[in-house]
Amino acid sequence: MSGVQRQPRFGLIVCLVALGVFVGIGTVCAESNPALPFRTYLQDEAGLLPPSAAEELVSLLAQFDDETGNQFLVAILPTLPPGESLELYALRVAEKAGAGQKGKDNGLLLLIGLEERLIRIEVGTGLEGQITDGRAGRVIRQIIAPAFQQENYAGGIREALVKLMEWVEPSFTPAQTAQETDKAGEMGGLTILLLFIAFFLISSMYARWERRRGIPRPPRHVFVPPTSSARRSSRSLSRSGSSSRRGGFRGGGGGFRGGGASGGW
Amino acid sequence: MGKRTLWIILLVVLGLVGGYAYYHNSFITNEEEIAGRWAEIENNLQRRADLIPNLVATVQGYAGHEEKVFTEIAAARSQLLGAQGVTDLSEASSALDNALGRLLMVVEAYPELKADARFAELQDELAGTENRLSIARLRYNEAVRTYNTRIRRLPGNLVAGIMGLETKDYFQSTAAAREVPKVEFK
Repeated sequence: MSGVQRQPRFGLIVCLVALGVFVGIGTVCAESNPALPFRTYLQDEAGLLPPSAAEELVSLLAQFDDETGNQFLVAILPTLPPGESLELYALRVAEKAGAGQKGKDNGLLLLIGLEERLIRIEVGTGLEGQITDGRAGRVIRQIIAPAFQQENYAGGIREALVKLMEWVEPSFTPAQTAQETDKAGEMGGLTILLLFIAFFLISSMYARWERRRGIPRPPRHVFVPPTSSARRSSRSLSRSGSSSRRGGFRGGGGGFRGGGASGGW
Repeated sequence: MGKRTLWIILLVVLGLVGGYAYYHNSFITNEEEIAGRWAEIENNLQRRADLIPNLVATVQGYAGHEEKVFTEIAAARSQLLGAQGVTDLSEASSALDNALGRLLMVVEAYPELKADARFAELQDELAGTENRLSIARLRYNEAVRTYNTRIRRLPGNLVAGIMGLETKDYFQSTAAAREVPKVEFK
């Protein structure tokens, strides 16, 4: 009788062991070296660009994404992480951000390391036909490097992006930015109104921050002038309720395989 | 008692069959991944071999008398195009790396060549292909490592033994290949 009792238990154990052994333990490698997170299209960690210029670039990049689905990103770092090549780091940042749509792989990352004076254009696999390595290198040599040598950072980046966008979508025309129209004439009533709203949003945002003391969540952020503590989120623009999506970046999971070019100035 | 034992045997058999199927399928997936990554390496090797004649032609326009380097490159290139299998290919690829490195050193002596826009773009194409190649190699080796580890560890090795699977070769980057001078930008 006791044998009857023991046998099922033994069988059960064998069964469980067999199952457990076969299913095994899935080992998942955790990423040890964190890559730069992207909350917006332009991540100016070095505080290189004046806020107005950064804002303009963000809206250019957001417009390009909205209209064509190609996700171009810009990262400006005070210094590159040591012990990793520019190419490998750029690839990791671009993949982590997931620039471009999954399957189309139509993302691009322009990475700038200030201290090293290095530039990398990382081209998504799907765009390698339009932006060949030679073309990417040409943009660095002929547009970015000369502009950077004259410390025209925002202008160089903008011109380079427009050129790259032109190759990908020849029909794309960048919208006139508020800044450009301002230069042409005097401040319109609309601009004053916008500034007023911005001021209101900024102050309420600051009040929220005081309470929360945390970094704001990506989807609903509001433009905030750069302060040392808020630099990371300072380039973010609000995604307003209506159609105009401005600045909030969400990667589509595009793939990269190391295409593009490197250079310096 | 008889019925219960039967059930238990059935469960054990089901567990074994399920486990076998799981490992069998995942090995197939791994193998396919490795094949895909290998294809990526081959594409890049091919692309590099295609780029070289253009690059050589441009350099010859400025430095026609540096024949030794050109013959070296031609030899390394044909070695690469004739190579079969992982080990052969990685060796031929290193030889070509070295020859290219010497070519780029020769280029240093010709400022007009370095200033040539066409040459600069060819160099970008070459550097881009090298970069893609090294990333393809990393990804391939990673896939091979995962696969090799899985087919040698318990209990996967039992299934792998039945399937007759063997460990796969890594794509080696030799010490010499690592010494290739990087294209320097001013």
